[in-house]
Amino acid sequence: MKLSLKIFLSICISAVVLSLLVLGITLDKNYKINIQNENERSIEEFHIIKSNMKTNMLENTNILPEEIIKIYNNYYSNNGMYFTYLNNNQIIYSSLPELNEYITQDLLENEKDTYISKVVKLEDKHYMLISSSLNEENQKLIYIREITEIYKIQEEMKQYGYMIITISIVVIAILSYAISKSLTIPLDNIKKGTEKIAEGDYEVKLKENRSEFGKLAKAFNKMSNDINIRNKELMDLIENKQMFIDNLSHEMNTPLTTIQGYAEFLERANCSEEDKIKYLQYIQEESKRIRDIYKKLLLLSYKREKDLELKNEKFDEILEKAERNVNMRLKEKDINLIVDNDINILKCDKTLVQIAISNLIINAIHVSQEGSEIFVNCYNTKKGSKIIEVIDYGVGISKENIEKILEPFYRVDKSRSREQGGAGLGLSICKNIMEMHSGEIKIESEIGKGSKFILIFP
Amino acid sequence: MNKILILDDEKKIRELIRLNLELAGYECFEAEDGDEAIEKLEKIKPNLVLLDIMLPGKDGYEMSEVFLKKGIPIIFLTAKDSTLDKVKGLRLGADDYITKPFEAIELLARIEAVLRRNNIANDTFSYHDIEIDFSKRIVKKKNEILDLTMQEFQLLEVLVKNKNLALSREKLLENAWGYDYLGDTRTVDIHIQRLRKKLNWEDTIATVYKYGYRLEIN
Repeated sequence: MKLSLKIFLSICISAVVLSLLVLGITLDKNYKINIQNENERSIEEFHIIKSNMKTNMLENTNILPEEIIKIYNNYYSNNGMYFTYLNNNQIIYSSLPELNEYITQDLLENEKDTYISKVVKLEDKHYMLISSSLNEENQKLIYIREITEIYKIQEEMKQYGYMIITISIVVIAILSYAISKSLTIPLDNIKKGTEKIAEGDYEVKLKENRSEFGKLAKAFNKMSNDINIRNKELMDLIENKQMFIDNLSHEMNTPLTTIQGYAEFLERANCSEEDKIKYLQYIQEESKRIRDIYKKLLLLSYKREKDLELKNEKFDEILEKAERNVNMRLKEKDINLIVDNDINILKCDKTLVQIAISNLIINAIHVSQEGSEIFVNCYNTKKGSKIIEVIDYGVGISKENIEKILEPFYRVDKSRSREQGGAGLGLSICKNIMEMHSGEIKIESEIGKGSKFILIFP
Repeated sequence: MNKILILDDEKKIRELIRLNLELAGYECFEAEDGDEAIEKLEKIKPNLVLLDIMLPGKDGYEMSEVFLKKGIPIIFLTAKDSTLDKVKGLRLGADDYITKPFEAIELLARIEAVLRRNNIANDTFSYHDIEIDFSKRIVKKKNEILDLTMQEFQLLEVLVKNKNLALSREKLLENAWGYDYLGDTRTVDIHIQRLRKKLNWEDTIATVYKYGYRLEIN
C-alpha cells in the first residue's frame, strides 16, 4: 500500500475510533449522573409524600389505605407521578396497570424505611419505580415516575455528537490527506530523481528546503552532482585514452602502409634497379619512423617503470649535448641558436633533461622561418629554482591550442602533416620529463609573434 | 582509360597507390590537400577519387561532399579503422572504405567493383590481336571467338585485372577458383599452359621463378 494512503487511513481510522469512544464514554457518564440525580430527587419526594400519606392514614383509619392513595395519585399524576399499592404482595391498587408485570419480587424485598429503585421501559416511555413499606411491613407502596425526558435528552445529545464527529472527521480527513501528500511528495520526487540517475541522467536537481526531506534533497543533489563530476572525469579519461589509441594507430599505420605496400610492390612488380633502390629507401625511412615513435612511447611510459635517481650534473655539458643533437636541423633552416646560461649545476637525470631541451629546440625550429633566431635562456631565480626558456619568433600558438599542445599526438596543424616533423609526442614527453623532476612546463605564446616554453626545476 | 584522383597528404603513399594503379592501366593524378584537389578537379574530371580522411585543411569527410555533389564516386582510404569511422564514411555516401595498410590486389578489386557499380568500368580489354569482353565473357583472336572453359576465362580475368603484377600460384587459386577450392597449385600450371597455347601468349604470360605468373603488357 502506498505510504500516503497508509498515513491517511491511519489518521482517519484513529480519529473515528477515538471520537466514538469519547462520545460513548461521555454519554454514558452523563446518563448515569442524570439517573442518579433523578433517583435521589425521586426518593426525597417519595419520602415526603409517603410521610404525609402515613399521617393521613393514621388519622383516617376509617378510610381504606387504597382510597387515600387514589386521592394522592389523582393529585400527583398531573406532575407525572403515579402510585401502586400492594398488600401481602398482592396489587390492591394500580394507577398504571400496564406496569404491573414489572413489579417483581426484587422490588419488594426491602426492609422497613428503605427504598429500592428500578428503571423500566414500556413502549417508548421510561419509568422509574421506587418501592417502600408503609406503616406495616407487608404494606408496600410503589412510586412511579416518568423519566422519558432524560432519555430524550440523551438521544438528542447522541445525534448532536454524531454530527460533530462527522464534521470533524471530514475536516481531519482533508487535513490528513494534505499532510500525507506533503510528506510523500518530496519522497516521490526523490524516487523519480533516483530513477533518472539510474537511467544515466546525472543532471537531476531536487528542490531544497529546511525540512528533513529538504535536507535529504540537498544530500541527494550533492550526490548526483558528485556522480556527474566523476562520470565526466571518467568519460574524459576514456576519451583521452581513445584519442591516444586512435592517434597511435594512425601514426603507426601510415608508415606500416608504406612499408607493406612497397615491399609487396617490389615482390610482384618488374621494376628497374633505380626504382628498387628508391622504394627500399622508402621502406628504411618509414621503419625508422616507427622506431622513433616506439622509442618516444617508451619514454612516455618511463615514469611508470621506475623512480628516477637524480644526480648533480654540470648543466653546460647537458646544453652542449642538446645543441649537438639539433645542430643539423639548425643548419638546414639556417637558424641562429643563441644560448645564455647562468646555471652551473642541475640536480636531474641528464639524459632526460637533454631530451627535453632538444625537443623544445626542435619544436622551435619547426615553427620558425628560415634564417631566424632561437634563444635559450637558463638562469637561477632568487627562490632557488632553475629556469630554462626556449624562445622562438615563429607562428605562435592560439589560446585553445596551448591547453592541448602537451597532450600526446596533438598537433596544432590538424593535417598531421609530417613534413614539419615527428609524431606530436615531443612536448608531451617534455611534460612527462618535467613531472619526473617534480618541475613544470609553462607556455607563453601569441599568434604571429612566437612562443616561449619555460621549464621550471624547483 | 579510367582516371583516378588520389588525395592523400603522405607523398610516399600517393606514389605507392599510383604505381599499382598505373600498372593496372589507370591514369592517375595526385593531390595532397583538398584545395589542390578542387583546383585539379575541373581539368581532370576523374572517374573515381581515392581519399584519406585526415587531411590538412579540409578533411576527407568535408571533401567527400565536394566530389559526391559532382557525381564522382569515392573510396575512403584511411588509417582510421574503427567501425564508427567506417559507418560514418559509408553514410556520407562513399562507395567503399579501405583501411591502411591495404594490399594492392584488394585495392584494385575494390576500385574495379566501384567503377562497375557506377557503370564506368572498362569491361573490355584488347592487346594486339586479342579482344576480351568481360561482361559477355567472350575472348576473340583476330575477330574469331576462342573456345575457353569457364575456369580458363576466370583465370584470364584475374591475370588481366592484375596485369604487370606477379601473382603467386596460391593467390591465383584463391582468386580464380575461390577460397574453398582444395586443388593443387599444379592445377594453376596446367590452366596457364592451356591459356598460353590458346591465346598464343607464350611470352606474354611470364613465369616468375619459384613464385607464380605475371601478365606482361607494355
